[in-house]
Order: sequence, then C-alpha cells, then structure tokens
Amino acid sequence: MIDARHVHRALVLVLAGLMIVGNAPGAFAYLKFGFDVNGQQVTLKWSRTPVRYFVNNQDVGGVAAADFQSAVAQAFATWQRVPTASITYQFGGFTSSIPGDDDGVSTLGFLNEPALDRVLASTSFLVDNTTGALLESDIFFNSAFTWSVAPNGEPAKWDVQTIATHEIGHFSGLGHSAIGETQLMNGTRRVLSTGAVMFPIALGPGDISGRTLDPDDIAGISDIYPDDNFNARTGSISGQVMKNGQGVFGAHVVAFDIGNGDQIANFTLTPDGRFSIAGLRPGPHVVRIEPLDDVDTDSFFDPSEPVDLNFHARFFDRLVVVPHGGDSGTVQISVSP
Amino acid sequence: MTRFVSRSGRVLLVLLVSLSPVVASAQQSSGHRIELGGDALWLTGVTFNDVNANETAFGGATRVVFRTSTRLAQAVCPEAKVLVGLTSTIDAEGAVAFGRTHLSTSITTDPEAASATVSAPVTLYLLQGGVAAHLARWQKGRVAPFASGGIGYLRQLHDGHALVQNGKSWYLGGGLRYPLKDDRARGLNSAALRLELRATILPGGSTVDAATHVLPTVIAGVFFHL
Repeated sequence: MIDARHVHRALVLVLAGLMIVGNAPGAFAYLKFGFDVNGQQVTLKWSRTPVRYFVNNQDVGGVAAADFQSAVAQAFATWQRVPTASITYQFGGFTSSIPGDDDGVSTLGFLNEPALDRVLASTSFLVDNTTGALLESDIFFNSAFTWSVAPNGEPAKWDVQTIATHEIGHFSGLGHSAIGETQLMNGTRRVLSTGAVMFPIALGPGDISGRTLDPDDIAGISDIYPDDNFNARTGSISGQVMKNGQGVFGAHVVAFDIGNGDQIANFTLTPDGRFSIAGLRPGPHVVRIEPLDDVDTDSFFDPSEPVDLNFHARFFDRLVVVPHGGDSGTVQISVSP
Repeated sequence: MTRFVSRSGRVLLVLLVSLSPVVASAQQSSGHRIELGGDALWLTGVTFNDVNANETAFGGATRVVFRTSTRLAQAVCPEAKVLVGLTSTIDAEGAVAFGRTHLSTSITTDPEAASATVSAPVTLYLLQGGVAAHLARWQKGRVAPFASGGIGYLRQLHDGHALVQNGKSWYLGGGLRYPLKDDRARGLNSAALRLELRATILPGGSTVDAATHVLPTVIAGVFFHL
C-alpha cells in the first residue's frame, strides 16, 4: 500500500531528443538520478533485489505480449550480466496494469501517445518522499511508432530490445550520457554516433546496436550497484573546470583510457565547476572537456540550471593517472570562451 | 598457420644447434668467478598500439571521434649488476636498474578540439636475472662475445606513486666483453668493459595496451672481478 501523501512521480521522458524531468544531481559518480529528501540528495536506486517487473498482457501493434516480454527480458539480462554490478531483475508475470498506474507494480507495456511524436518510450518512478526509496518504476513504449521484436531487427521499425535496454538503464537509476555526436540539420538533430546506450537520442529505426552496453553504461550501473570489489578495482578522476576564474557548470568531461579506448564521462555538477568520474580502470587517461552541445541540455539538467555552453572543447594538458581504489586528486582544467 | 609454426620451430632448432658447440668450446674462463659492475641501461622506448575513441554509428558501424598514439619514452637507467661464473662458460647474472621517463600520448583528428600531446612521468625499477654464455669460438683478441637471456620484474610508478604497475619482462641479447687487463692465462680479468644489445620483451601485463612489445635495449658498463 502506498501512501499518496508520501509519493512523488518523477516522469522521465526519454529518447528522440526531448527531455528529463528530474534532477541530474550529485558529485562523485556517474550521472544518475537523485531525489531531494529533507534537503539531502539521495541517489535513486532499488534497495532490494531482484527487482520484480511485470509486463502488460495486451498485444499491441503487431507485437504479441509474449514476444514483447521476451525482448525486454533480454534487455534486463543485458544489465544483469554486468559482472561488476550486483543488480538483478525478476519477471513477475503478465498483468492488466498499464504503465503509469501508481499501484506498486513496476510495469512495462505499450501506450498510444501520438502527441508525444518524438518520444519512443519513457520511464517514470514512484518514490517515497520521506526516505527517497524507489517504490515503483514503469516503462511505456509509444505504440504510435512501429516496433519490432525480430532477432536481428527490421528496417523502418524501432527495436524493442534496443529501446528497452536504454529505458532499463533509467529504470535502474541511471541518467543520460552525453557520449555521442550529433549534427544539426534544418533545425533537427541527426545522430552521427553514440558511445553509450544511455545517450538520449536513438540511432534510428532498424538499428539494434543499442542492445549492447558501452563502458560508460557499465561504469554507471556498477557505480550505483557495485559488487564487492568494484570500488577497490576501479578508481576515479575528480577535478574542477574553470573559465576566466569562475567555475563552469554543466561541462561534459570525458575520461579516455589510452590502453583500451574506454570512454566514461560525467559533468561538472557544482557552481564552482567540480566533477568526478568514477568506475575507471586504473591507468593513464586522456581527459577531454567539451560543452554539452550535442544534445538538448534539458535532457540532462533542469532548465533552470545555468549550463555553460560558451567555451571550446579541449584536452587537459597532461595524462591523468587513475589509481586502484582511489582518486586522481583534483585536476584543475581551464577552458576559454 | 601451420607453416608459420613449423618455421618458428626450425629457427629455434638452428639457434640451439649453432650455440651448443660454441658454448662447449668456450673453455677459457674459470668457473665460480664473481664480478660486480655498474652500467647504463638504455631502454630506447616503445610505441604502443594506437587506440581510437570509437563510437557506434547506425547499423553498428564504427565512427572514430579522435585517435591516440602512446609511447613510453626512452630512459637511461643506472644499473648495478653481479655476475657469478657457474661454469667456465656460463655466468649467472643479476641486476637492478632504476630510471625515470614519461608516457606520452598524441591526440589527433578530433573535429572539435585541437590536437595535443599529453604526458605523465613514469619511474621504472627493473630487476633482472639470467645467464650469459661466453662464445669463445668467436673471440677476436681480447674481445669476447657472449649471448644472454633472462627474466625480469618491472615495477612502474606512474605519476609519482599514483599507480604502481608490476609485471614481468624477458630479455634476449648479446654483446662484447673487453678485458681492460688481459690476464686470460689465469682466467682472470681485473676489470672489463661490456657492451650489450638486448631485446627486452614486455608482456601484456607490463604494458599500457596489454599487448606484448619489444624494447631495443643497449647496455654499456664496466665490471670488476672480486
């Protein structure tokens, strides 16, 4: 039973260019959701595993409920297979509940939302206001689009497993990643490439590459649900990005592992420009700083937050060595307009 | 594949066959000698495999955001070494070396950020042990050739002590020994110069890119007979 006075539904609209309503909080981690509890930021995460989810029992748009369930089960399994993370999921069964019902049942299914013509799917949360505990998370897939559950995808149809993999990242507490490149053409963004499943814009119908997690996704889920050794086996880079003597808020900072090419990123999340990137493999890293100009900033931050886009991308002028189980020490980075 | 393996085997066989009689004929040195020496070990540096910042484009194609090339710069390391004559032709050798160098990464082709080269200091400690075989057959006057091989332990301290990386190394090489005082009649040399060329082999556990690399290495020093 959920006390309506103590719950808050934070709607997270995902993919296709729009949005997040919800915060991108907190230092010392990958970008993950947080929730304000009595003035304290609490990381949004499941406190008990396996996390049980249910699937709506309606066949929609040529996709049978059983096939839909099979596709999302594979997406859940993708996250569960991350060896450095401890989260597990369990299919609870089919249900007549629909996504968005505040019933304490985490439900995945289709809803027809033609007005949301750029939203393929979205994830919402039911959170206990007094503790910040995650009570329920629902994912709806917009049946206004055409979907596929074919093993290898289908041209001109959005792949359920690919989109589910992204949404389950949110379901588990991850925010968006900005590792990706876009191009503005006639006022709309075209995705050139992505370096994380949690990039907010999908590559396109027929694409199934988003079924596979990238290092940034793996670091993120492991940061929220670390296994026993994750924190000892990995390290972090922290620092401060400054422009004209002032901290830069919302700068995208990418740590690039020169040994294996992994890219893991975070943002400067405080007014004085501080950042921290956790879950890094120990070793030397190149650090790249860029403005958040490949996606709409409100996919990451509250529109009221002063994200600074007015500086040039650059590489930090030395290699940053990540230690085992520790932090690099504060890296001071200057950028110029 | 099969042909490559059998060719490798043939090369090894040729080496063994040609070394054996040479070693057997190198009888001039006496066993149980102990020599101490100091030398300069020049690790000429190694270029690691290029690593790209890749992203995934539609259909799973790879798109390169920027490219990196990383090199461990050369280092000249002071080295202390001890040689112990096991037989008249075979010496056991052990050495410890210390040096400072840096890891340097060049970043190119980023469409948004200017190309850059960034680096971090690396301190090296290298402990090695192996054998050296005197190749008396090819001795010319006082200049005596030798072949060497062994195993090492490489400790790399990145950026001060931020990260300690320990790993193995191997070496194969050969060189020339030149006694400053020719006293071969008694099998003794009071002092000798030694010049050696080595292939220092760093397996994946000792390298940034987890791949095996070979560092050409030059060693020059002086040894004193105890």
